[in-house]
Amino acid sequence: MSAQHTDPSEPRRLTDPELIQVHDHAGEEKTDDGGNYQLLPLVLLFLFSGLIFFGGTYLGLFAGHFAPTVHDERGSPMAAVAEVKIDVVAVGKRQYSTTCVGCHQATGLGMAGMFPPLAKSEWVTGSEERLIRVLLHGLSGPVTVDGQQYGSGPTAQAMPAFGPGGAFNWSDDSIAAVLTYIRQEWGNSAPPITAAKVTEVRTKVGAHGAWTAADLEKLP
Amino acid sequence: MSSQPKAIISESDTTSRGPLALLLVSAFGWLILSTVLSLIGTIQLHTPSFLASCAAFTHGRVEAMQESAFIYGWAGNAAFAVSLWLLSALGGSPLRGPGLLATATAFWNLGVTAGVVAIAAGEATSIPFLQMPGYIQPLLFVAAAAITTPGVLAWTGRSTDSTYASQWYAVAAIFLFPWLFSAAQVMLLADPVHGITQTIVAGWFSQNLIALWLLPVALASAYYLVPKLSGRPVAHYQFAKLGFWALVVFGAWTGGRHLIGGPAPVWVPTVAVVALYLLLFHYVIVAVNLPAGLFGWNSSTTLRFVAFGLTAYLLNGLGDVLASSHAINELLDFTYFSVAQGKLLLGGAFSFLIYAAVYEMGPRITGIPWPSAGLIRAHFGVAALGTVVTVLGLAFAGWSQGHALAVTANGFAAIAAAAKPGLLIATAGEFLLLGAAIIAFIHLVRLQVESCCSESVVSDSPAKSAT
Repeated sequence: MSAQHTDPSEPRRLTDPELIQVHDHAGEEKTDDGGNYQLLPLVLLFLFSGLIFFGGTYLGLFAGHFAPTVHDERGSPMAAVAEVKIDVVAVGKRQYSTTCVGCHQATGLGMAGMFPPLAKSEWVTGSEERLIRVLLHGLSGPVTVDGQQYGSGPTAQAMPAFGPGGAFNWSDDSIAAVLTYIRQEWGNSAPPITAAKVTEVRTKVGAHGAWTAADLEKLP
Repeated sequence: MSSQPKAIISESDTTSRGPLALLLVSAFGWLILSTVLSLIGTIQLHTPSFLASCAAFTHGRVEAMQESAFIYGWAGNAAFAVSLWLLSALGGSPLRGPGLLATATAFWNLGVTAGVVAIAAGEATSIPFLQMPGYIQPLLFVAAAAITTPGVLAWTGRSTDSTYASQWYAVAAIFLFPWLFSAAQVMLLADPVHGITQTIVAGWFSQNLIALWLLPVALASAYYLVPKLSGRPVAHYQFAKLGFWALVVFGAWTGGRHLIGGPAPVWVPTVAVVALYLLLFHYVIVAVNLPAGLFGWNSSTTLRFVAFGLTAYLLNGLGDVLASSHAINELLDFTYFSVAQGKLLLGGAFSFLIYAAVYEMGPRITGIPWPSAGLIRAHFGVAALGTVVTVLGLAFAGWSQGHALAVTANGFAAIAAAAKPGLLIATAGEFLLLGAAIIAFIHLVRLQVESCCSESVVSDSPAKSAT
């Protein structure tokens, strides 16, 4: 081809058809017969295998199991689940100490004649459904707790509704958490109340006004 | 052209001469413009008041204009020219539709001009490598599709059943570019995806535009020139196809490398890092195939361009792997070091392999030799020195900047001061690169003008062939 601008000492150039022809048969005549191993194919094979092995290991270690939620090279989706696990009693204690503590007191003893105690209360440690209904819808009128009368007379106070539609509008999770807390605090040792149980009672009863003690005592 | 006595040229070369010359002259014109803009941008990094009172030349717009002019003006035009010419030469038939090609080239360059002007007017998008406004992009896509059509026809209508490595790389480039370009336009501009997906798509696009469009064209040039200029076939050619597929398959997965330490799910950058490591296989095969090019420093000037380009290419591959490691990435990501890497890859590897192809194809399409061998040597010397100085300056600036950034007590002024010496070196390098671009442009225009004259007055040309 146009070789006139290169100096004559340079090798003759391949034409375009020659270029294709020469390379078309490249590598065909070389075989491994008679133990004449070509070193390069082996080297390349080992190199490629090594890179694939390295790549696979790297992916296994640092790809976060390909989970869309993992943003840290050393994170794993399982660890992410463990991190969000919450302590129900701690949540219940926080709820209690921001809201309930005003009436029932930090000691859980309430105030004589006005606010019934939660410690050693048969209402708290007894029927789950009664307790859930009190929280969801409230309670008014006279009630007897641990042998003492509350909710009658000039100083009487009603228990407000904490469920959906009430002034507090707590979720089932919050209600379950605070109930679990009061059932296990101040010497009480009743089993926890699950959010599922709260949901079950809420959907069964629906919207309801404040209960009276007489209503609830009919329940098992 | 049959009256031209000195050049032995095939028909395939001369019929496509007009449109290919148009692509090349436009490419080198854009190279000068983008180098000027790059110089302005680098000066502004250490002297922020430079041109700051003119809205069109504020730093953000200058950077966006420079990138668009370089990628779509210089690299785009040049990549089209080289891939079309290689496919036509190796396919053994002239390019079909030269009229369509010339028209589409005119529209492509009009589109890039409009895009750069729009950026100067403040209409840039925020997406890397796609900064020209959305209303110009469809024009560019249609023009690109029309430009590459003759290349597809040259491939499907080739005269031999067997194919050569340069053809694979060139065909891959002209088929992958429309895919990358259209997908990015739809997913980022026309109907943008939301949230983090946008970042991932943008990273995929900017990385693959280089890895799957520009670099394959540069490699096509290297695989074509090395056996031609050295007179020996490609060494261990049977592995060339493994190298090709390694680049196409693994290169496509490297998009997430810009998201290391970023907000994407960690598997995205991790897969990209693994792909960068697997690409080492590709680099090894290129080195095994083309030692005559890699160590061709003592041969013709054209082969010296190839040697510089291939060396920069392999260095960049190694640099990518090193920079993706956590310790280095934490220090150097978001510093001038990334800019240096980009200059090494695009200004070093891609551009030098393209220069070499241009010096080979110039006489082939015009039918006369280059007017001056001295200008080719001058271009090589100035461009090589300019690239080395710019890359080293920016790398040094990035290194100092990274160390200054790592100390929380450092204020902005202290960090800027740390990077300043490196940036001053880079500025000197950019001046050299501007000189190199002007030399190449003048030489190319002289070649075109003299070939036009020699066409009308044949007796003029023998005097020139002495060079």
